[in-house]
Amino acid sequence: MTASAPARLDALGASGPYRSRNLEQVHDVTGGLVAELSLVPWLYAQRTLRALRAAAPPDPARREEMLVEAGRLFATGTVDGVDAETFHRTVAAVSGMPITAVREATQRVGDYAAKACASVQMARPAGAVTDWRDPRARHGCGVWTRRGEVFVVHAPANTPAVHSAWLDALALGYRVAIRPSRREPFTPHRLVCALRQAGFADDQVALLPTDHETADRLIAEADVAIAFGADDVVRKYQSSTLVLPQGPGRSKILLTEGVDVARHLDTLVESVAGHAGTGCINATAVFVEGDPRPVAEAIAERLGALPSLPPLDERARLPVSEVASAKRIDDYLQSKVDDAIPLLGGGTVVDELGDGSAVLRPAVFLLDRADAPQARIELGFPCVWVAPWSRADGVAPLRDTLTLTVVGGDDTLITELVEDPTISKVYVGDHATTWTRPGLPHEGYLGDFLMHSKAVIVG
Amino acid sequence: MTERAASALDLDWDSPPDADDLVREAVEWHFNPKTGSEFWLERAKKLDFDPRKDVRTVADLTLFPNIVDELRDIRLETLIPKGYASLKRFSERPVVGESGGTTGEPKRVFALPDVINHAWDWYHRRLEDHGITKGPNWLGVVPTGPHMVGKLARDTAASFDAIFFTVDLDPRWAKRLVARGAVDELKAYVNHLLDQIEWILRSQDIGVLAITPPLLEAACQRESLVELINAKVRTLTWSGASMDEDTRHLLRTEVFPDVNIVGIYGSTMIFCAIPERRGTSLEEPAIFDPPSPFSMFSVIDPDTKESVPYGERGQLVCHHITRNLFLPNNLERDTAVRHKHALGLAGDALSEVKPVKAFGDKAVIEGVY
Repeated sequence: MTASAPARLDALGASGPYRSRNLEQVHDVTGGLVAELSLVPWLYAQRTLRALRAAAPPDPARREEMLVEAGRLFATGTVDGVDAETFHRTVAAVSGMPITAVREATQRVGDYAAKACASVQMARPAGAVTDWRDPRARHGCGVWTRRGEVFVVHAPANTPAVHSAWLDALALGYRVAIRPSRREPFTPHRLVCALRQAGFADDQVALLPTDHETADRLIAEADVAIAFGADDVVRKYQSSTLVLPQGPGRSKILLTEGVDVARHLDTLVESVAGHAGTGCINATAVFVEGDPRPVAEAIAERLGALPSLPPLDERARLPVSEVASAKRIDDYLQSKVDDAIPLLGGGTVVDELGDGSAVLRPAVFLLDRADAPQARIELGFPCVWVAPWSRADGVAPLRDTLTLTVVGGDDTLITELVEDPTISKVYVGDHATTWTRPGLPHEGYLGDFLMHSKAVIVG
Repeated sequence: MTERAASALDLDWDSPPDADDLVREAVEWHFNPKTGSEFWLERAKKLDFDPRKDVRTVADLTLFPNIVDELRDIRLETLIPKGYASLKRFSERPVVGESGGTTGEPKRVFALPDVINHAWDWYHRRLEDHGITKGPNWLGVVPTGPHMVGKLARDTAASFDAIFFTVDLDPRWAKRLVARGAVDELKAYVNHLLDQIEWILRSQDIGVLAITPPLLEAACQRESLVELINAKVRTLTWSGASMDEDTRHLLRTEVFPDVNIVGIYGSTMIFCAIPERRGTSLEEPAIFDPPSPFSMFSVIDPDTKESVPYGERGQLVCHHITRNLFLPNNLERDTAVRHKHALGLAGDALSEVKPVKAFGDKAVIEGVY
């Protein structure tokens, strides 16, 4: 990409930046060297966690001030000598996410920081207050308190937006250590730097890049942790009360009988391909009560028109990867197609740009039944499975879902969906699965996991 | 003095013979039907060269196949050179040592007092070089049982007139726990060990601590242990596993800045333990100079089999040549950075030894993370 020396991304420990001898090279999607990331050894990581645990959090008002300022710096300011536009370009070049999507996701994180302190209060039980000095405690009430002191985040790289998640923990007074993805460490590095620039002390929030093995140990040493990953990560941690696994989203859309597809096509396309289709909130499957083919064809036509462009092009809308990794993803997809009918992306989804990178073109497949296993395959680019659905199929095919958008539908069906424990968000009407705003739960409120209530009576 | 006392094979490890002389005497001893071991005499029949004729120099050692995998299941007696029976020097039975057992069944070798004395004396003198003196008590937190490092620690402490404290530890069990991802069980086992270490450190005057890198790192998680080590321990040796240079630097500069920290590289297949070179700066890695030519290293490019340039990483080849054992041309699974031997002896010195990287993290395809 550039001939300049690679950027130096230090770890950010409890006593400042740390440069290790063990450096991991971070490349852009064309294979160019962009940065050298310091990977910390376990000894450093565990000492950092201990320093974090020993530190006291700032008071809540101060936290809010600093989060607001950090959000502003992160989204628009100069952080660690890097301005926002340079940062956006670096993230786009490294992650392959289109530059416009990077800007939007980054802005979302900045906006979220400003609202985090208010937003986390949405999770507080109605019977609990935030401080034992609250007058209500004189008669006895619940007080909402942290379940631990140190929160470890095993972060993913699919979109900068995921980093808004752990801001809740800082807002609640946790000390937070982020283990970034080695593929895209720039976003959490900038966010931690911005928080520090805004006034959070070095022993409040840390960035600890590590190898895979050390990452597991970090989680084991945390008081509480969140780990993003595939089904194996979910299986590994689902019985733990101290680790919250965040698995595949498998977001879905249900179009019930009589819905005018043309009116909702924008919403369908945004759900599948918004933010370049890299998120857990992007739709993986669309279920249609009636004939699914016209819906699949309409989506395919719209997605097929998206251009193949490098991530720094302002018109780019699709994700880009190194050719080898794009081919791996494509091989995997094509091996799973089986009896699905490809309307888009049959044969290959890889469109090489000639510079070592390749666009992952959208894929649209038609399934012949609601319980076809392909409908559960979530990939990091716009890829959607369109299937028929009838009342007889019931809720089963709609389960295990982060966001379920239902267009149409009666009270009975919607009640059933809202009550289903495996569906996290139910959007009724013309709402893209990607829609969200601060204060809403995302696989539950993180506050539900980070906090508990205890009975307090004073005096 | 017998005729054999003048042999290169019997020289003190600090009076090294010419490496090629040692090689010639070794093949004569190990492949002579009167003196060689049943193992080598049988194995020689399958070689397409005659070791006693064709192996004259260190370079010729590469003619030999790597036989160490055969040490996993052969009868130990077949390894012992027949010549020892006629020497009548040793009434003692051989000491059995096993490799770590990381890669399957452990490899098994033996040692008789002649080689044990040479190896242990050499080790003792290198620790003297690092400032260890007679007197202070030792705490050995290293594997015992079939692992020679436990015996080495106990014997060396005795050679320094030290009282030796120790705890039991089973690294193979710990590795099994790691392999099946039993994080909590491993934590419980490590805590069990740390408790025992702490009891000893609290009540006893421990001046020398011999410990493995993983347990040293685990000990660092307890502030009380860090304080005890800083207050009491003057010299700390680590051995039994590699230590990355970032960790070593933190230990020397932040965690135990006033403790004399000495890295040891050892392996059963070279039957010696090598303290790091003295006098390197804080920014330099720990460099290990072997007792060449009895134990020698080459750091090679595995494709060309040629030595890599000094300062570069390559795959490790070990040779161990004593009257006890002839283990030439053993291509290890470890890689290391190549250095010149400090004393200009045959073969290479090493730094930054680490296992050949496994095939990396399995590429996860499905899902967005």
